[in-house]
Amino acid sequence: MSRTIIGTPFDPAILATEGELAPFPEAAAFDPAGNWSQTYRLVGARGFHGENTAVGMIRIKRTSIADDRFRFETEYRVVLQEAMENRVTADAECRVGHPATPLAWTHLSEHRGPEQNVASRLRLKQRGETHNGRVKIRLDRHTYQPELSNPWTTEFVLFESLQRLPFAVAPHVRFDLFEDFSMVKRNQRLIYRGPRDFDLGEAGEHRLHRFDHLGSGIVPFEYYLDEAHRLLVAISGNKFLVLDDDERAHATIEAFRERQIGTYNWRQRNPAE
Amino acid sequence: MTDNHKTSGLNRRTFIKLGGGFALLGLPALRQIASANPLTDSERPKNILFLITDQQHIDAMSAAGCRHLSTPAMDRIVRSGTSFRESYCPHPVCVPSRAAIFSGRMPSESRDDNNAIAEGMPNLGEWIRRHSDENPLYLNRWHLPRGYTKMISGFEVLTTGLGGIGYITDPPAARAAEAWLYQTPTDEPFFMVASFMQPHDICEWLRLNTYNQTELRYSEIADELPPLPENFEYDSREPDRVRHMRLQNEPAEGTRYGAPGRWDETHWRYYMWNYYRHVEMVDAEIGRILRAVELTGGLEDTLIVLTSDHGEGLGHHQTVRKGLPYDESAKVPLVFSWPGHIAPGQVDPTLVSGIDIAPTLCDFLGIPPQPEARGRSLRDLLTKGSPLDREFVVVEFAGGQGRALRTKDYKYIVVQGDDQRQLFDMRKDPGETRNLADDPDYAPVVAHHRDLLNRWESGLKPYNGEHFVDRTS
Repeated sequence: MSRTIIGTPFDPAILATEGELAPFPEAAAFDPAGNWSQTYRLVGARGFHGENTAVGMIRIKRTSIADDRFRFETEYRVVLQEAMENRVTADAECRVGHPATPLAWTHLSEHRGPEQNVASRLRLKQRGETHNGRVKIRLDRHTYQPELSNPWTTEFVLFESLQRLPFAVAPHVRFDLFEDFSMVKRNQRLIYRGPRDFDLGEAGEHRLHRFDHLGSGIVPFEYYLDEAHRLLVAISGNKFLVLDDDERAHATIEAFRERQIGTYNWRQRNPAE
Repeated sequence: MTDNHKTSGLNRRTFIKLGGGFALLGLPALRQIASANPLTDSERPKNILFLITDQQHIDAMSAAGCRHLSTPAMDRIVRSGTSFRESYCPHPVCVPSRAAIFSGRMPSESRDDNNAIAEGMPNLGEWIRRHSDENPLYLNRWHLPRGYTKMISGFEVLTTGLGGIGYITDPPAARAAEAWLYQTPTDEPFFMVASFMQPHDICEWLRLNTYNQTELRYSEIADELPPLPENFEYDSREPDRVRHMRLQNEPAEGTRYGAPGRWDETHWRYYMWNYYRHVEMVDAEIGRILRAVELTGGLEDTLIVLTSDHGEGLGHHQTVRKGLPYDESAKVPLVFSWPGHIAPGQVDPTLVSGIDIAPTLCDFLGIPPQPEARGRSLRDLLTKGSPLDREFVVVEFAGGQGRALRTKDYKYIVVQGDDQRQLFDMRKDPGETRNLADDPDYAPVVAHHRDLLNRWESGLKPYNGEHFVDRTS
């Protein structure tokens, strides 16, 4: 079968056509400022029809602490070739804002092999805090202070902020991005583009509101939120995240991991091929 | 060269710990006994960090003068080291270039039909392991033959990746490198290859942005779009194979996947803008590794090498991606940094190639180069300023059917079976826009370059036994 390119940037309609959208989880009185958890399927694309691969998943959980504070937990999994896996967990106390900014956090990265054994030398724990407007990071026995301009946020705490933004054309939300609690990316901005009605086939009909995210060090993101302010889809170049049922996302990633274990075992038996 | 060069069973860390004792006894260091080119501790970097990006245009760094992106990490390496302005990849496609970089042999010799390094040629990791007690580490993209695998002979692979999605899989590699550096005792030397996928994802981006959009997708960036390059227009007198490579790509009227792009000026410039964002992404990942090296106190003791497997068309000659013999595709960044040993902030005009990297690293380790390495060690050039006696470098392309030979003043391009050659005066026409090959005044120059090429090729040992011969007249 010959490969054909998709040719135009992803949007929810194209993702539906590509078979990437199933019915979204029920909205059930979603309160962006309340307590909630969400799971996203992480998909990488080659730009050809039918060549998208779910390689990871992200779980995020918001818990209110006070009117101006919340706890934000993230679990990020990526399965790599031959069933190696990188898991990142972060637990942050954040200050409410546009965008919300972490005040104190822990961040742990672990790498696992095909047998799910954790590679001890590839385990890295970070503790960070914001004090008097300055960020201080402790990595293993070392400390450093990244130069971040306020407001700043991280790529997944931003998901929380997006879901609390009003659907209104307003001055751009500007911030620094502290990606992966590690990389400073400046001059970020969020721009509201308005609503558009989508027929997403199996995933139903939705009026989706789009925010664009531009800035240095990122390929532009486009975020699509439903009328309840739930972030359903995030797209950046050839990667996208889709709000998913937690069990289904987990099963998808486990299936991918199983396939990679198969690849690993085959390659071990056939090292020259 | 035999395994006599291998040191005893002591690992390098133990050796260093024992170094003082041996010195007191008046004994030469074990590694020096083992080395073909004995080095003192001060002549040998404690650590080597070899950073490879994928598809990086030589000027796609702010330190190279590009105003359309921000690359603080790569800039830092450039500022602390020596960059080569005339740095060519062995082949402007990932697999053959990487085969050459890691074998020290030309792509026609080193890459077999399975996209692997040809049998009997040790890769750099195998060679280092054979001749020293180093434990070479590898992260992420390999591609010889498997894109990503734990099973790279000669290397301990810390983490793999996934093809085509550097967005997702470069960060785990950087996290692994960081963690390894923080978790490893600082007196333990390392040889680490961190091979990133980006900015190669621009290829996937292209497939999602092939069709010309009538409006700029984000109006806010209109003022940020880079201008078209000066050599956007090109001399159409080029070999058919070169023309074909241009036309099969997305912006042209018919791609290999049957989709016409027909880009307008804005779309070309939008492509460039997006390419620079991809470069910034990999720069950020490199930055976190540099930070780990610095925080663990290793920066002064680490030789850092930064290069890419091939360049990027980036609109020059109306090309995108790779594969072509023009400088944008064939030139790559090549930077060496070692504080106190390599002059900082220098730009060296010497003609160099990706096949020089392995001999140079071997030389810095005090071990011999791989057998029949075609490249040259740049060590003395970098540390002593000794000129490299070299008249030309060769780039293979078009599936091994093409050659570009670059001398100080000219570039000569030929494809087998095609009489349309190209000759560019690189002093007067660095953008390669005026083909002089058919100008009678340049016939002697063409003949000289053809002779240089044929002499070079006759000295190679192609893996399939088929020598490239330039039969044009």
